[in-house]
Amino acid sequence: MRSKRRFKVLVVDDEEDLRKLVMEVLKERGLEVYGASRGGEALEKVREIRPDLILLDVMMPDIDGWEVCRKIKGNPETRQIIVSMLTVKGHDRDKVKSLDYAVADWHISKPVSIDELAKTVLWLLGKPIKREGRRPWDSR
Amino acid sequence: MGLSIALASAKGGVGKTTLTVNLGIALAKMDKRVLLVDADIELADMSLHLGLGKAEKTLHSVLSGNASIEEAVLPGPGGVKVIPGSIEINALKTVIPEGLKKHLRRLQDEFDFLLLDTPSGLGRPALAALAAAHGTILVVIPEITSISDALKTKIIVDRLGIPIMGAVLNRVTPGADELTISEIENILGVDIIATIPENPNFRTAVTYENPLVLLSPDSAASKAIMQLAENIGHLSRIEGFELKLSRASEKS
Repeated sequence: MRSKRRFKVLVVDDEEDLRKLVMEVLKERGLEVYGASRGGEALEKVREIRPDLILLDVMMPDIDGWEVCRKIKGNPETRQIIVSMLTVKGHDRDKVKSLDYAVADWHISKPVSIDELAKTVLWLLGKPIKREGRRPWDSR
Repeated sequence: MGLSIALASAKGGVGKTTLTVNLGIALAKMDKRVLLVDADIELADMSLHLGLGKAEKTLHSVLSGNASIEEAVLPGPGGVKVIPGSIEINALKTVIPEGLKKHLRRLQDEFDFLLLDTPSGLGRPALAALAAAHGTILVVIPEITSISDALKTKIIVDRLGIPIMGAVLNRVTPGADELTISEIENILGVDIIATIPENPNFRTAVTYENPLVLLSPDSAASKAIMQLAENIGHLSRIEGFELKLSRASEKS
């Protein structure tokens, strides 16, 4: 049975209006929500709050989201955090970069309806995503 | 003119050969003239699935210029015809994979469907097999690495200008907490046209060299493959025809 602890979600996006909207909607779904507007800030928040899931934009002014995700997934202490990219970069090659290079658990392309986004977040929090094969850190 | 379909996935172990063989037999059960082509030239093993033994003329012979494509066609189980690959490693040395398209065109009037079991990966043999077909069906399993690899295949197939007819979600464990159809469709950008449940008898079927749709036609997996065959069976190769298939319904 699932514990009553609320899931913590970190929303990382440099577009303030969008970040606030997503945070508001996820809060309404009963999640504990945090925000960050830069890649570096996101990494600090990850250490601080240990979220269960991160929605991560790609194009940010300091570190791009794919690199942020690689750092999170390359750290044994944080790699279990579910990360979904949330980005306007929606070509198939961008999705492959999210899933293969950044080792993200999922990729959501913008635009996405806010209901669809909330549904996907809840789905990601409830589903163990199988990943076979090697991850970048396995070769170390 | 027959319709050639590549069953493709950059990831290995997703069940491409098993699906190709069973789908072909399912189409043959519907009185379609079917040719199965073992285009997985690096790891050809379709003949083991079908109990054909060691063939004298194979696709490797054809692609090496040592046999005509007509000579390599063998009768298979359930009314299908088969072009097996060679299971000998040395046979690969003289093969020119890019010849596949040209050779297959010679047989197109004799069959309604030519199903190509394609190699994993994105190397030369895989590209040649994908380029030889009129349409592609992606084969995925409910795992993130499979989805990622299917996206890579999709990128290549799009570049080749070949339509993607849909994706088959294979090896689904009923009731398991797996990726759902709608989530996979969202990220892959391709309709799921069938879901095939995992069935331990797929392995038994290979051991006994008797494909599941013949060995165990009433199993859920066989029924799902028959349904996929019905979905595909109405298509034919007409210039400009949209290779669009019905979506599988989401199970609750």
